[in-house]
Amino acid sequence: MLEFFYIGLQTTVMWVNLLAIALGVVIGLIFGAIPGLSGVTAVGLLVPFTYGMSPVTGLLLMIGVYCAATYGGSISAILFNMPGDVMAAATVIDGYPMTLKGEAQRALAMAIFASFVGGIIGTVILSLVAPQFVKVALTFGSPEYFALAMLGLAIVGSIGAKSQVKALLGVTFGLWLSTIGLDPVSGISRFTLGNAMLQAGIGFIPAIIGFFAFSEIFARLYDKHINKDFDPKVIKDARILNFPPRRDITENAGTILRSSLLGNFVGILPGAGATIAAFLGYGMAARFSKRRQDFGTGIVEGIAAPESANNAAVGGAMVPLLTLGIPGSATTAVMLSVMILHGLRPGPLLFQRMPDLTYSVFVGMFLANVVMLVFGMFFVRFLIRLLLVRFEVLSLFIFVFCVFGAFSIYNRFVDVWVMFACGILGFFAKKFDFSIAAIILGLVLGSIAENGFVNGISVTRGDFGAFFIRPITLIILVFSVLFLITPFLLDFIRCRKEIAARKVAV
Amino acid sequence: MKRSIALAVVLLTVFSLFALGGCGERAKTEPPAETSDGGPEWPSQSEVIAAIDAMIADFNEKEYDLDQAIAELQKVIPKPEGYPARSIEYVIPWGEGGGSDSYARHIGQDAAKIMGVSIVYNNMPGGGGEIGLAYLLTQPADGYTIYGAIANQTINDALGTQPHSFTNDTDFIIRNQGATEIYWVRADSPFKTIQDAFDYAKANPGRLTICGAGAGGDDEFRIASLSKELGTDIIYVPYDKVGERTTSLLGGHVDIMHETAGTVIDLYKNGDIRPLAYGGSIVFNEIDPSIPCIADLGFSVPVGRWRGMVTVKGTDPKIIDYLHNSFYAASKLPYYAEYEVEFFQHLPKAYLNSEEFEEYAKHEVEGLRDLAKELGYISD
Repeated sequence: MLEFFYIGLQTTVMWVNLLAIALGVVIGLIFGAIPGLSGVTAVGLLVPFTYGMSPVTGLLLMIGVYCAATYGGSISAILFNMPGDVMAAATVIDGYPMTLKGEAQRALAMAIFASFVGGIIGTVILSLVAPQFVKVALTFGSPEYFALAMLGLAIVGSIGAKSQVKALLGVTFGLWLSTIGLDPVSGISRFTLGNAMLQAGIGFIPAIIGFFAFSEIFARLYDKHINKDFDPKVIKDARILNFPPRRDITENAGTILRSSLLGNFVGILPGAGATIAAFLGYGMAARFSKRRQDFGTGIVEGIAAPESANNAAVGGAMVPLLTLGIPGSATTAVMLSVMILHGLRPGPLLFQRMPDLTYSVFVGMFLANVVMLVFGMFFVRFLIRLLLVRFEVLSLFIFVFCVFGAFSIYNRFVDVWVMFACGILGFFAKKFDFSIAAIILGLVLGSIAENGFVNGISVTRGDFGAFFIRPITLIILVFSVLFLITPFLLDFIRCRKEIAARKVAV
Repeated sequence: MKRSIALAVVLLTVFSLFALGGCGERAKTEPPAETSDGGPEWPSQSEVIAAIDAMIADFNEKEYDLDQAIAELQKVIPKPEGYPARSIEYVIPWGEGGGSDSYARHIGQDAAKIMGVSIVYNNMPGGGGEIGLAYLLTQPADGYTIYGAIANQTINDALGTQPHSFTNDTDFIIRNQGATEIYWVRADSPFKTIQDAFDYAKANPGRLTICGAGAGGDDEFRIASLSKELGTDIIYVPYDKVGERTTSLLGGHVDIMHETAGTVIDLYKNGDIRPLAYGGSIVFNEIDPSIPCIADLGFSVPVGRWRGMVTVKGTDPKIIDYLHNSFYAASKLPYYAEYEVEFFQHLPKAYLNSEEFEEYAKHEVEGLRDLAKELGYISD
């Protein structure tokens, strides 16, 4: 096996391939960081360019984009309250409050560090235990997907810091949005108002662009407090090399490790993805942390958890692609298409047939993460100055990118209308203090929960008992229930103690 | 200063993209020497493809290289006046990495060279292909927008769920791919033959689970028809993504998977899965000649997953002929032909010319409409 790594290393360090990785990382950072544009858009646009490249070079380019875009989304999430890519939707919750507290630099440093560690852990797991790991993922059938979605929904209590009721309403609204379009089982149109274009449903990407980025523009215009006043001196004095302070690293090491493992596993499942990994990572951290009541107010842990989870999911998504020849995410689907166009057949025989390709992918992902760390750390200093740019100017560009980004994913104009509509809804949600993250959570998990439930009932042949007591399903569902009730339970215990204490005092 | 740096970065990025791509092959832009003046001697599709076949036979004996072959093909294929003058948009109504995407991009590569213009692929997924179709129908009938159709379109037409009709609102160009679905089981499945599975299904109605691609598509119709003819109840589990279908079989969550041969052939070669029966009416000797096909067992096969191209109704018949001939020629050139073999698409005799394709699709819609009524999908 070591010799294969050596072959992979030899292939990867050829200058074209190194250039491809570096270029991929830069493109990924740009597409990831700009709200509206996303990694999927970048990879899709790059497909024609890969025709003329060798398959390894083309794949490494895309891997660079994939890794960097997954991190890049957090930059605008932290600085502007607008996730640049869908995977960063959970990073907004604590990222933007940190910027408002004047801790943008600390937040950005943690984002790049957590992304790097997550990415490396994902890559190591991919290259060492991919075939064994995929066997574990195979035990996930539809009922398990349903349970996973329930676990994801259960974290809603952690993201609606201000009002639990409003968070629940938001999540319900998101779930309803996810039912628009064709019914996944009977194929009947739902809530499409007879519009053929709405049959495709509400896409995540246009919805997320609308709910976060567009609504932010509206909200700031409405508030007339369009430019948040940041201290220019602090921003200009940003350090050159942005490595998080040692205390942040030691305090969050456990969170990052747990999130990375969780994110990597969720990434392997072909029905889930990096966005869900990030939400689950955040939720886990928010439940198990000592500072659980501070989540949502802008703490570093709230960035470390989702960022390490979504970058670890990148390595995870490559597992089914390389071991079974089936894509685990939208980006890996594009990679699969590039491999097929080059006459390669990803599948269980790829490892034997083309060890140089698979092992260059492993080495390439490793290098991409390193390049991403270096670029990320140096760019933070410049990126942070974007806070000083007048928002009137910035918002114009973001507006254009949002429209372009929403359209370019599937070339459907209806997605632009969806984005506008979500932007207006998001504006009112912000005005009335509904959590947008909760709406997105419902939208992202809705179809997984629905497919998992309906297909799961088919898989267990209509037996509800068998559905709920499958070992993995049961464990995850019990966890979900615990997630939901622990805050109330803790409150209850605290009240009892207080009452008891008062009685003693009396 | 800053502006010049930004400009330099942009230029460098664009430049290195091209550099990575080598010199980047360019489609030939010069039109072929002779253009038909569109007189009365416009040859029929079958005459042209006979000439193409003869040429390809020559080419396969290595008398000339690919560039010459394409130049020769340009001479053989009669060109309508003034077409194509700009790039052609190919609407792929499914996502990247899927079967329709591969089909379009493989057949399009050499077709673009033959036609001398580029083909712009436009992935527009959603609604079982109907979003892309709805978009196609808003385009002018000038032959510059073509649409990659599959069996979902005839099914939706039969069900009448759309405001448009696939067979009546489009002009048919060519069909290149036919059904290659196989009923697969996990290697350690208790079902040794398809008969075992049928016996189990008959003895235990509502217990046998078969997964396939999506709701309301060709897979569902096949399973529903099979279930009806067996007189039992088979549970059909629809999964949109190929990854979910494969993992649900490998993980033992469903009993049988109904899937095209090419997508999962490596899993078969690796010994993870084995075929029980061929889904259509042909036995694939290249895979396993010892197992039967469903049609030989006496079941009807209402629909299979074919792939072809259509365009907007009312397009000039000469343009249709030209597109048909160009794509036919491209399908015989090595890039597409090798892909076809790799994905077992050469096994079904799938090619249909424009007229045959239209007739076939209309016939399929009729049959599906009757079946849908029988199965209770539509009333009346």
